[in-house]
Parts: sequence; structure tokens; C-alpha cells
Amino acid sequence: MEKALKVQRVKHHEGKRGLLSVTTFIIMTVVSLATMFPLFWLFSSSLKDISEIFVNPPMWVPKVFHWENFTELFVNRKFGIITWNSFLLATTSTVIALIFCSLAGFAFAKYHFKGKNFLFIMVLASLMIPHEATMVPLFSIYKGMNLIDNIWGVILPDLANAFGIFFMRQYCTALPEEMLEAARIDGCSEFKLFRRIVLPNLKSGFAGLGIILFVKQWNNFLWPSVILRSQENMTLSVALKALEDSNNTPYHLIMAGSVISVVPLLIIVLIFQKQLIAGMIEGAVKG
Amino acid sequence: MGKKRIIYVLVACLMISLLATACSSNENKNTAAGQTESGKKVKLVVWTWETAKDGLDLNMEAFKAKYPNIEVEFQNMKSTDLYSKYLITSNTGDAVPDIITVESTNLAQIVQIDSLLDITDKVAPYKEKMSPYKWEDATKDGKTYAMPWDSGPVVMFYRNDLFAQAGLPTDPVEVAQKIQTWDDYYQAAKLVKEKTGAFMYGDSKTNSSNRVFESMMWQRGLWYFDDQGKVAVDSPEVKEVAEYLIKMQKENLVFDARANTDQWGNGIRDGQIATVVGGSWHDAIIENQYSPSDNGKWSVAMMPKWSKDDKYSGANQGGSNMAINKNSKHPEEAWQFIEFMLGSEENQVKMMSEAGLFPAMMIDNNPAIDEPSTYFNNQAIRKVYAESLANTYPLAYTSDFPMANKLMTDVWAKVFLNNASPEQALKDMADELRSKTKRE
Amino acid sequence: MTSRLNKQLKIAPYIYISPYFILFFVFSLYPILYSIYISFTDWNGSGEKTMVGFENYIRLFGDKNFWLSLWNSSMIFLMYVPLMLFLGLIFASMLNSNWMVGKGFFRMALFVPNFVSVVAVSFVFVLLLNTQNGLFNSVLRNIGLIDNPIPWLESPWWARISVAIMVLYRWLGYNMLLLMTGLQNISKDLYEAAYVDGATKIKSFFFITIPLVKKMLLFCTVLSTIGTFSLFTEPFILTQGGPLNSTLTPVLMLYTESFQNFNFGYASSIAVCFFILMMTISLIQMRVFDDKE
Repeated sequence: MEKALKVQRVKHHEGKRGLLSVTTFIIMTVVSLATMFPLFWLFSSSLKDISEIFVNPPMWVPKVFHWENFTELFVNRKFGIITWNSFLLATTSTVIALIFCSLAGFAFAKYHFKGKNFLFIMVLASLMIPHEATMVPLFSIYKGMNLIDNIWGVILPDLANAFGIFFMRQYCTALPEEMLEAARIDGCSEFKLFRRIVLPNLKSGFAGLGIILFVKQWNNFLWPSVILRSQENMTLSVALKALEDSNNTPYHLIMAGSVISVVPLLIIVLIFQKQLIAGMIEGAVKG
Repeated sequence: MGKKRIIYVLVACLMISLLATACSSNENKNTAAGQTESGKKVKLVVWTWETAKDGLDLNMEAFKAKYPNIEVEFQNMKSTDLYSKYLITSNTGDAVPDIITVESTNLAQIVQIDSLLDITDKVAPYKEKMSPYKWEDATKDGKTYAMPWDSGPVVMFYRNDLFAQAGLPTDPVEVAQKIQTWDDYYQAAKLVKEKTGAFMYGDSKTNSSNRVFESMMWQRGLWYFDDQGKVAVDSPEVKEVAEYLIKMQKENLVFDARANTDQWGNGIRDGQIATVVGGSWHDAIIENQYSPSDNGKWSVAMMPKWSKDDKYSGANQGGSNMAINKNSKHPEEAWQFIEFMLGSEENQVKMMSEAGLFPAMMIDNNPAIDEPSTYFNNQAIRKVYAESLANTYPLAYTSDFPMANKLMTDVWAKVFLNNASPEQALKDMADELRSKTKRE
Repeated sequence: MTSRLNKQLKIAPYIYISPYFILFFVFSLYPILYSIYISFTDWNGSGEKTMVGFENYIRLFGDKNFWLSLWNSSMIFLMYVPLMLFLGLIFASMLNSNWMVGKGFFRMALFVPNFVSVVAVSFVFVLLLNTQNGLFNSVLRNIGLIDNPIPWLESPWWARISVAIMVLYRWLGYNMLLLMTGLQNISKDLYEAAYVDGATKIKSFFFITIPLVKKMLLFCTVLSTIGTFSLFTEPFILTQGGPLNSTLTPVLMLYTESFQNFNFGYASSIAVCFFILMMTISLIQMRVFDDKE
């Protein structure tokens, strides 16, 4: 009798599931639309004329697509070179950081050496130094090093990446010891070992960390806006803010510039979304 | 395997880009060296903003024809960004930019940091030709660091149709008769509001640019600091002015938007703002930017005075200058550019007629002053500007103006948001100003 | 041969970690120490440094804007963190149910705001939140929810709310992802058992889900604390820290004092205090999470 009741309940449960799943589906759809909406507004505004940006009632889709906003940016506002700078900055900084992080991560995962624990604690402690707190001295150091208004001034401090070392250490720890030993027995030098055996086996780690670093650097704003000053050295984030003008801010151009900054990243992220999400979670939880 | 290919492409791009930067930086050095040695083509970098550049563009052809060896690159930015970026430049001793445009509001501050080229000898021939007040902020310890460009003589722009609906006169002479004092202005504001629903002028309660307030102070020779440099915002005269503006706001006679923002511009466009008490350069903004379709609806008159017997009726608002970076590699060429643009009456007049930049150079006898403006009901609006300029109290913005202006914005916000008394808010501001500027 | 390899084995790790440590010393450790030194001087960045002892710190602790910046961050934190974690957890459990359709898409849709350029998103919000002609006010007015436009960026509390909304918008998806991983560790049997015992969905959410992801919630809270005190771009573009400094944050204050007012000495004292604050939060975080593991 009791058992029958339970079965009945579970069946009832099944029936309710349909309704519940429809409700949650609707809720999630609404929420997703809400989160996508500002992006829609961004795209729509990027094709408006300045006079159509602040109008009442709001203009959802521009009557005529003003593609000339984009032409203006590329022809007169150097957005070609600026986009290239963003790309250059994000790629260079990511690739070099990946190499440095995997080297250090490998060392901490697979070697025993004097002072290892102490050094590792130092890496750990370095996570506590916020970038923002070093801006003032870094700025005066940069004056002597000719790094102001130089893209390398953005790249260099970001290469010392403790988070990346943790991240790569996780992946290196997972490498089988026997594989390394076998290579050593074959007379493989340590550097060759790293290049030939370790690197190829860290691919998924590289993808995960790489996409995180790329996204972060692409959107980097505070420090670049302090040191990058001439238009030909600016990155997209900095150039967007620099479009503001005293008397009338050209919001239509800022929106078009934002589209230029958002779209490439959106494409890259959609390609690597699995790695990004996995990397983000792993990075946050374990790091 | 698509991903693998993308990674390869990324790496390839990286390689190319690294090479490219390496090469390009060499290239830059080479060409820069080559330029100075052979003296062939010199590139000047000018930091400025959109409206100013529009003026310069008018004379660029002629400049290129006269100086084919000078190439000019304009970099436009927000003026406040320009100043903070230039402060960094001066700090790092960079040679770029060669020339900066500086509003009079910020000139004294920039002159203070000793990063501009001393051009005392170069501007000597122009000393008498420019409005005298312009030199005040450009000079430090007897040396001059900037060349005056334009002035912003303050006048009152008003909407004929709204005035007519409110039962006010519309003819500039009659308007000047009817609205002589700020109290007349207040009475007119009430009429306009009652009859048309429009606001008398636009200013934000919480983020005011203080422009009307400053013009009202200026015409009475009042300022954030007195003529001995002491903080003066807690003086009874200043309080009087502040209280007048608070009354305007509290009686809902003011369109709530910071002057010269898009919200404010929309108020102009939609006919919700009946007057603009502001610098002459507003004509171009009204005509071209916010209200191009309202041909014939706007006129210009002198701005009201505090009391009928006041000696000065005009004030100045903004206006710019040009200065040369101390570390510029091409100071001679930079001066040639500035002198060509700002030192010639012909070129100044062109910028006045076509870009709305009323020259700091005194050109009262130039026929262009009497030219009627089609948009402004065929009124000879520049005559009004000239009259305002001639009646302007010779006041300097001073180096602490930017800070005082910012603190003043907070005074209004405190009054309107926190219900602070104007007296207390001004007192607090004066104290803060004293401690921050180390003035008395 | 072997001795050469052995030697390599000994020096290789040092070579491997050296790029990191060199960069760390030059671009992190030395600057932070230098920063402490500058904080005891009066310096405009290019002239002479004058030692002033604790003057900068005395001024800082008496500066009401500094306390206000901490207060603002705390208020913004309170406005969005509880809501974000609550919504994050609900959405995470929705997406975590095995009968949910389109999980991947929804997960991505919520996550997109997190990696799209902050500057771009901030400017979109500037348009949306415009008082007179922004979309938010237009829509609210048209559906009759409000009569007078909301001064999103023009009154202190609304400005804080606006910043909080933007931060919520950017970080909801990220926190949802973290909470999802927390949920995945909960056995499905628990829910089934609870159901059989007559617990409703809502009850099991409060009595099973929340206690079991407590640790993850705590972790998200710590991350958000660090994030909120480091806020810069959002207030910088939305409100420039105003009105009446109501959205001034410690980093924004640091930026203004250093790169706009060129008070490098004073700015450094802010930097040092900010560093100590961040370090304290991180230490608490490590304590909490080491104990439990």
C-alpha cells in the first residue's frame, strides 16, 4: 500500500516536471534576453546617427544603417592601427605568459629543488599585490625605461602571472612521472624534455589559460589608459574613452568603436567557449 | 582540428606583429632623424578638440601652401583629457605633442607646471592687438607662455517664438530694454514658464558646469578668489548670486541638464529652453549642432546685469589659447603654425565667420563684425559680442580655477540633494579651498 | 653524460622559474616597496621628493573622501552581492536539472557580459541610464511605472544603484558558473529522497542546496569583496565618481590623486592602504578555505 503510494507520487512528480521545465525554460529565456539586450542596444546604436541616439520614443532599430560611423573610425580616427594594437597586445602578452607560466608551473610540479617551498609561498603571496597599488611607482620607473606610451609597458607587468603558474602547475602535476623518466633515460636533456614531451601534453591547459589571459588583456583598461597616450599606440578600450569630446560626445562613434572591440572577442570566445568556461571555473576554484 | 589551425594562425600573426613593431620602431627613429637633419618635412602634432579643429581646418589649405615643409597632425580629444594627458607629458619630458590648445579656464594651471615654451619675444608684436584680459592667465613671473586664440564674450541667446508667446518683446533692442537686470530675467522666466511651459535656461542641479554662475560673478568683478588671491566664495556678494540661482532652480524655472551635454542639447532642439546665457561660441552649437532646423527662431542680446548702475555688463566664458611644448623638437615651426593661425586678422576672421570662434584679437573695425547672420534673423550678432567684450571686467581665471569649479558643482548638489543651506555649503567650500590651495 | 644530465636536473627548475621571479621583482615587489617609500614623501612625480613622515597618512585618515570611498564600496557590495548570489544559485539549479533544454546556450548567454569589454558595456549603460532620453526611463514611463524620470546617474543613491546594477550584470553569469560546479558535487539521490519524503522544490532548495554550496557561496563572496573594492572602470565612465563623490571608490581616488592631480606621495598612501586591505581579505580567504580542505 505504502509502496503504491510512493510510486503514484513519483508518477505525479513526472507529470509536474513537464510544467516545471516549461516554466524554467521560459524564465531562462527571459533572463538570457535581458542579458543580451545591452549588446543588442550596442549594435543598434552603432548604426545610428548621433541625432538618433537620444530620442524619445527610443529608436529600436535605425531607419537607415549609418555604416559611415565605422568608416569614420577607420579612416579618420586610426581605428585600424588601434584594433591591430589590441590584437598585438593580447596575443603577444598571452603567448609569452603561457611560456613563462608553463615553465614555472612545470618546475614547481615536477622538480625537487632547494627553496622550492619558500619560493612557492612567494608566488602565492604575490597574488595579494594588487596591480593598482603599484601604478604610481611603476609609472616613475617607466619614465627611465622608456616604457611610457609603449605597448610593452602594458605587457611586461602582466607576464609575472602567479595565477597562471598555479593553473599550469595543475596540468603539469597530472603528467605521468614515467613518461618523463623514460625520456630522461633515453638521454633527453631537460630543455628538450620540456619542449618535446611537456609542451605538447599541456595543450588543454594552454587553451584554457590562454583564452582567459587573452580576454583579460583585450579588455585591459586602467593601466593602458595611464601609459598609452598617442593615438597610434592606443588599444581599443583606451581609444573608446578617448573619443569623448568636451562639448558633444560622439556616442554613435563610441558605440561603433565598441562593436569593433566586442565582435572579435565574441567570435574568439564562441570558438573557445568550452575551454574558457572550464578554465574560469578551474582557475577560480583551485587558484 | 579547426582550433589547431586557429592557434597556428594566431602564432603566425604574433610573429609578424613582433617583427612589425621591431621594424616600425626603427623606421620611426630613422625618419625622425632624417627629418631634422635634412630639414625637409617636419611633422607637428597638435592636440586639440573637435570644434577647435574645425576652425583650424578652414585655414589649413592656405597654411599648407605657405609652409609645404610642415605637416600637421591633429589629435582630437576631450579637453579635460587633453589637460591630464599633457600633465603626464610634461612629467615625462616627451617631445609630443608640439602644440596644445588650452582653454583660458585651464591655462594658468598648465602654465604653473613649467612645461610650456616661453614665447614672450614671439608674442611681443601681438601684445596690443589682443584683448588685454587674455594675457593674464598666459603670464607667469613676467613671461608669456601662450598665444590667445578666441574669446567667449557672454551674451543672451533667446528664442523669439517663446518670448512672443510669453508676451515678451522679441526685438533685440526691446529685449535689452525689458530684461536689464537679473531680476527682470527672473520675472521673464516666470512668464515664459507660465505661458509656454518652457524653461528659462538649462543647468544641472547636481552636476552643474557653473557657467551661468561664473558669468554672473565675472560681470561684477567677483570670483572664487579676490584680487589679492584670497578665497572669496564665502563673501556676501557671491552668496547673493548663488541664492538667486537657487531660487531659479527651486521655482522650477531651469531645465535640469548640464550645459553643453546631449540632454541639454535635446532641450534646445525640442524648444524647452528659452535662453542660453553663454559665450559667443554657442551660436555655432545652436545653429549647427542642436537646432539646425530652427532658422530664424533665435536672437542675441546683452546679458542682464546685477543692478542697472553696474559698470561692466559683459563677461567671458572659455575661449582658447595655443601653446608650445617646452620639449618640442620643432619650436620654430610650431610658432610659425600658431602665428599663421592666430596672428593674422584674415585667418581669425575666417574662423569667426565660419566656425563661430570670436577672436581674442580686437578687430572692431573689420567689416565682418557687421555682417548679418541668416540663421539669427539677419541680426548682426557679432556686434553684440563685440559690445560684450568691450564691457568685460578684466579678470583672470587663475590657476586654481579648475579645482574651485569642481567644488562649486558640489555646492549646488549639497543644496539640492542634502538640503544644505547655501551659506553653509559655500562656507564649507571656502574652507576646503583654503586648505587645498594653501590660500588665505 | 649522466652527470651532465644530473646537473641539468638541478639547475633547470631555477631557470624555469627565473623569468617569473625577475619580472615579479621588477614589476611587482620593487614597485610596492617603492610605493611605501613614496607614501612618506611629498612628490609631484618629477621634482624632488621631500620626506614628510606620516603626514600623508594623517591627511588620508582625516580625508572624508577616503572613508566615503570605502563606504561607497560597501554600499555597492550590499546592493548587488546578496542578490547576485541568490539569483546565481537559482539559475544554477535551474540549469543543473537534468531535464533542462538548451543548457549550453543559456549558460553562455548569461556569461557573455563577463568577457565583453567593460568600457563598451559602461558606455551602453551611459546611454540606457540617461535621465531625459535613456531607454530605461522611457520604457518605465511608457508602461506607467514612474511619472518622473529616475535620476539614475544624478542622485547619490541612484548612482550607486546604477553601478551596482552594472556590476551585477557583468558578474552574475560568472558566479552562476561557479555555483553550478558546487551543485554538481551534490548527489541527485538527496533530492529524490527529499521529494519522496514530501519536500517541495522550494524546501529542498533551502534545506539541501544552500547548505551544501555554502562553501562555494562564501568563496564567491570573497571574490566579490575584492572585486567591489577594486572597482574602477564602471564608476569612472558612468559617473566619474559623482555626484557628490557618491560612487568614488578607492581605486578611482587613487587614480585621480596620482594621474590627474599629480600628488604622487598622497596617492601612494592610498595605494598602501589599499594594498593592506586587499592583503587582509586574501589572508582571510586563505584561512577560511585551507581549514576546510
